[in-house]
Amino acid sequence: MIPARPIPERKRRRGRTGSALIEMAVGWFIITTVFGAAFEYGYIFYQYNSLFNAVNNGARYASMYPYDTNSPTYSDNFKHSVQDIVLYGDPTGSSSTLVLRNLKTSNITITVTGTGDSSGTPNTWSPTQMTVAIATDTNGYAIDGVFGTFTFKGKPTVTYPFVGNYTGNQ
Amino acid sequence: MKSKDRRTMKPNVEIPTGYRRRNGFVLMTMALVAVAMLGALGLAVDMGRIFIIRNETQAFCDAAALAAASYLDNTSDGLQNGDAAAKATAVKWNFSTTTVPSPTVEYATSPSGPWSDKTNFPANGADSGAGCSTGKSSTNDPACGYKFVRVKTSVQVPLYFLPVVETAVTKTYNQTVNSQAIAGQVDITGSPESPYTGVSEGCYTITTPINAVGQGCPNSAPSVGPPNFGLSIGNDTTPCINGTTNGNNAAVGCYDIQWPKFNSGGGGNGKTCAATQQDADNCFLAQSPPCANDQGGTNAEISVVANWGSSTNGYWGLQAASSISAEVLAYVPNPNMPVVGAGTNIQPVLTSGQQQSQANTLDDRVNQDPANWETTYSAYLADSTHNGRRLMIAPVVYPSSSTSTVVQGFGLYFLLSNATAAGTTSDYYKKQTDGNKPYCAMYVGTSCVGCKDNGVGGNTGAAAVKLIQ
Repeated sequence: MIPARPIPERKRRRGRTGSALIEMAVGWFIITTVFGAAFEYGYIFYQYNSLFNAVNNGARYASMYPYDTNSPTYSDNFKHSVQDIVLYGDPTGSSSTLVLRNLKTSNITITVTGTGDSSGTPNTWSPTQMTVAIATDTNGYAIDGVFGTFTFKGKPTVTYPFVGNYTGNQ
Repeated sequence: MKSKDRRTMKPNVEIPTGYRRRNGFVLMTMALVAVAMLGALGLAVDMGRIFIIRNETQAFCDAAALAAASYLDNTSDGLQNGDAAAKATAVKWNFSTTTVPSPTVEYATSPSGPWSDKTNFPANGADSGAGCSTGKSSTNDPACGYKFVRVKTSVQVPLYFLPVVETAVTKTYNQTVNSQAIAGQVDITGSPESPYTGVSEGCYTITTPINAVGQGCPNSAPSVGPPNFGLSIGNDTTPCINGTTNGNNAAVGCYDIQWPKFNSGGGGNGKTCAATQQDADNCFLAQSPPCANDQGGTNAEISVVANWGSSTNGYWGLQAASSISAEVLAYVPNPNMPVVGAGTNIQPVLTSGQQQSQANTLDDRVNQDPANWETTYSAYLADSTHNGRRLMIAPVVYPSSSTSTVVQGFGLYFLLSNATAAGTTSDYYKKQTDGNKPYCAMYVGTSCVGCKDNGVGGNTGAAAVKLIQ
């Protein structure tokens, strides 16, 4: 058996110096990546949570707000009140501070579900459920992260039973 | 000063015997940093998801509890329907992608419990327990008085990063997220639902429900309180419309929802009365029918005549016929109409109005209900096409003097119809009024905003479905 030739001290020291640099580079890359991912996901989740709360508040408000038409086509008054709750957390629209950056009325869809015939004569329709959601089409809400943009389409979606004041439902 | 390496400009260090230990230093540091990093990533990803999912499941419970509470009506069937409605709630979890597992739905007579699930209230359950009298059920039912719902759900959230940094021997790979909501039918004390008023069958003050005598009520007035204020719930076997009896008929639960104008006019109405008796107000003069095929007034209504001024028609808030008609057909309360609360003396705001012009409006409202042809309330409720337009909430008042007409509470009234089959229209009110006679409707019990029908009933005769917790 031929004994391994010892590596000269000078050569060993030179290789170790380089590996430390590489370890450092790899280490920083990993650290940056992981911390970047943590921040990115944390931020996106925080924003989504805020978005969910905004949509949930809108749906809850719609379920209680007096419904003032006898068809699934809601009035402007109803629409603006619900939209303002989602956008500003305030049904009057007096606030101008958005709960989420770049959230617009076009991002919000309001769907009123009812029972009966709204096109018949006489009209026999009455509301049963209120759904507020983020639009499913190109109007989905985009959250700008550091490393990319996440667009939510059709989510969150929240539905509440209508328990508000509709004279026809008492 | 230490010498430096000319190439790296780092201090020359004596390492002949130490570098072997330094080989693992970077590895150890990286390992420690990796644990910290995974912990941070776990907090960001796993905890972030848990918070989102908790909000999603809470929204599910809120919606489910409201849905279930809207069905409660003192009957086991209502409770079973509420259970099904809660479990059909559409809110999803996991970024609105996953159906929430079937929740636990429990019921109680008080928001603090004790709670019972639906197995204690079998459908079409045996009549037992305390008496429960609502418009929907004239029999006793074990579900009587149950007006609060608790919905609980639990989901397992898979964890991806936190288990890595967990020090426990048995690691947790799923986090249980529990949510709960309580909703119920909560008494409301004010409502502007209808411009009409009904008259109670006795005196009741909200502060002294038992001993009303001496509290501004006539000594002769019986003390009757909620939920029905002495009114009899409509008698399905003898509906208001029977071909001969129109107008007020307390014996079968039919009451005026508007006071007749106190004057000497009137006539007609198809009754076989003498000309001098053809005034609707005659109904209020005696217990015995003033004319053939007519009904005498109740004690309360006789008292009305005695205490009532001559300038009011029983409307309150609005005077113009167009305004009153708009209010009758409104899908929401008129914002210009003051909210009337139990205990309020509405005498100052009572107005006169043009009754005859509103007859068509009342008929329109009846005809907006697909079940406009049902003649009894139980048949109406059993008709799956009914949408509630024939039901109208009105303040129930007791006039104790010419200046005091206090709102006792609220009641739900079933508007009458002469339609004979589905698809036909009614012109009952148009035919049955001559401009001065009162409108009549069947009292059908308590009212509830947000409920499917009557609700459970409460201290004011009116309630609303609300979240409590």
